[in-house]
Amino acid sequence: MMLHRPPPVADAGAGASFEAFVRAQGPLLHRTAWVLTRHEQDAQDLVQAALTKTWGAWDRIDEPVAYARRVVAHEFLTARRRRWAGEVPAAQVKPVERAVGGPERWDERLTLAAAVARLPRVQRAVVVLRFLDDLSVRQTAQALQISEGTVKSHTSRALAALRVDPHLHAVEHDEEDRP
Amino acid sequence: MTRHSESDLRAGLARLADDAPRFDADAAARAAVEGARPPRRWARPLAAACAAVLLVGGVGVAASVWPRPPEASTPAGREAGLTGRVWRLASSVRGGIPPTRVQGPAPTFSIVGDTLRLETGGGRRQVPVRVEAGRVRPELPPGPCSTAAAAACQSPDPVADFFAAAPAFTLRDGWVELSAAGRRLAFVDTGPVPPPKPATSAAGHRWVLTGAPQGVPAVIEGTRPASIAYDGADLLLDTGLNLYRFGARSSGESLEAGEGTTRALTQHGCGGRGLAPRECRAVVDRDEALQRMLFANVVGQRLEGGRWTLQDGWVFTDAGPVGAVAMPSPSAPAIDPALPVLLPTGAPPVASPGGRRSRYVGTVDVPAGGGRWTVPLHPRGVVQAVLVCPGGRRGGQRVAQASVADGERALSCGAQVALGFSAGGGADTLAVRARTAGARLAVFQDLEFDPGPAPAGPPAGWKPPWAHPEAGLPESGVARPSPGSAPAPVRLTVPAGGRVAVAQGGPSTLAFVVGGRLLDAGPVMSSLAPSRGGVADSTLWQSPPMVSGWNVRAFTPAGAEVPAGTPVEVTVVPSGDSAPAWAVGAAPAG
Repeated sequence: MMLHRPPPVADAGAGASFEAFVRAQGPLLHRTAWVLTRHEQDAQDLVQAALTKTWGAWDRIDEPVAYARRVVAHEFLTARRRRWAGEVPAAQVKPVERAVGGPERWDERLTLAAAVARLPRVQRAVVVLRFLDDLSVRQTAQALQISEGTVKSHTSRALAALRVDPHLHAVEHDEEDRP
Repeated sequence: MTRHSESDLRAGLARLADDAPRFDADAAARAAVEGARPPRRWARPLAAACAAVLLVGGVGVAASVWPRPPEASTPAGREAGLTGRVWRLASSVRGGIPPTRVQGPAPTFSIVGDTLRLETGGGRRQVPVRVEAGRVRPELPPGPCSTAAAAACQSPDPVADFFAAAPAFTLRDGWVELSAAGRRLAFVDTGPVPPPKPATSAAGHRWVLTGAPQGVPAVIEGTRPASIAYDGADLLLDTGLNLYRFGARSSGESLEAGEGTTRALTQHGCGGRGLAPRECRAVVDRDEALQRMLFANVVGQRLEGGRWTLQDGWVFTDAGPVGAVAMPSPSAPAIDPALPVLLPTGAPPVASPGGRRSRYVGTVDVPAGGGRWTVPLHPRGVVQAVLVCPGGRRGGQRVAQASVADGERALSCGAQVALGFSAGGGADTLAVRARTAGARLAVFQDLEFDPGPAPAGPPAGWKPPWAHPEAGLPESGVARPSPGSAPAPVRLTVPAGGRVAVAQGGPSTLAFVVGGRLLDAGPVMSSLAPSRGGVADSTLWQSPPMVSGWNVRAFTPAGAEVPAGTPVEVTVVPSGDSAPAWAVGAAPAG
């Protein structure tokens, strides 16, 4: 029994252009997914799902970047809370959080990451798309497939939550105390 | 970053994004075109798919999974009955195994001859493997792995090497140690995952498998109380979400081969994730050429029901996997307010209708120089402190010295120290002198035996232990309770260095005392403090009886060990509710 359809048939030109697209946009999509998930393999999954679907629709989409970003956002928002998500088996002991940008900033990054992670998923996605990917309200609405008004309200609520976050507040004071 | 500035938020998010791991765009593009995820190490499939995971020759051959086949959502797919998931054989060595996809709810692996077989409810795929002496490797196909990248594909084989010698499990209180080929494995709860900043909540507990070979998950971070158990062959880590099994099998054995515990495990594998309970197992090594193999497998969600066995003092009951449950202490009385106390952490204790439990007291960071801590004791609790070093062992480097009631001992990473045993409860003081910072002491108590609702009596056909000569009790020197009388201590003389053989055919709790001190427990113990105590518990009526051996080591009041062969009087004290269904006997060394 044939269980799966064969991969999409595409000519060599399509394959080359898709590979070029992945080389150019893949790392950016991965950055977005990484900030959304803060989990290496979850981020890889988001990007890979986006790229696979993008390749499947490669011959009929006009804006592959927007399409891939929309898939990333959709996959992120629709990923159900799996019960096993609370466990992280790994082969090596790793630090709880990575911080490679220098010791002077790592506590700030961890604090910001935790604060962003505490946001509801839609607000988190709005914040990341708007302030990391620098999308407009309209582009964010298209990526998340919600209305522009909803994007604005989520943005407002997310920023309000970040402003009152006690840990960010502590960081702020730490910053102020620095010479 | 200031909290009011959107520009600072942009900058902060950009810095977060800069921390992103490296992204392999070429691999991602190729995988997208071929319709599959890129090969990856097996950690993800392990977590994601309740997947049976098979390590073949040190190469992780795992079942990766799509959430569902893309075709399933199409009319044709629905008509064809495409449900479940797509499993994909993967290798940690790119190109080592051709992409092989099978659809089905749960995979089963087996090695038959020179073929690795993956079977699911929806299909079967086979991958050729090459069997060498003591190891199995995927048969690498022509292509990248046969040319320039061949060296990368021929990864070392730590797993097979690791089990070149027969492994041995050693029970500890609260943890289990696996020794083989000069290496040691031990799962140790290192306590709550350190929060990134003070005053933030811990993310959960981190379980570290020390000394794990490459390719074996050494760290599991969870958010719930977990238990460590040992079913006589394998190490089980039950995090409350999943049940992890670590172990080794001899050639010809398989997980479903006649073990009640294993059947109970496999029957419930994969349950609770939207899938019907199905077998989710790894059938390991049916090839005689492969002597032993370390495997790790998410057997399934934490089990409910099923019949369980009682082995080596670790309890499995009909009510579920009890084992040794590491859980927070409900109360930790501080005896000396001047000393910091290992405070209880985590969730409240989980009720267990029967079984022996180890209670996780807490974890304390040992600063450079050391410190002193008050450790609450339990009336029947033997406290074990395990020295855990970040990043695993440091080549056996001794980093700390622990001072307990009977003297000072040097501790290496992963080593344990037995603290006092207090029949009246109270507390003990643990003093640690550390050469370096970074070590951590995880403290466990082997807690009280809670018999729960005891069975009314033995089942039909039950025979007492002394009616089972095959149980291995010595023919002479056997002591046993008098039927119909109240539980009372019995005494026997055992040569120092010998063993006390214990057979328990019914619910009973036996404490062993020699010279006013309790015996050492377990088949392999070393460097134990004289105050180390031992209690044998049994919760079940069973025939033939559960037999265990207890080493006899006696010490002078000054702490010197009594020479081997010296007659030592051993007193066996049964608890008041012990059934007269046990027997003890003296056995010589060996």
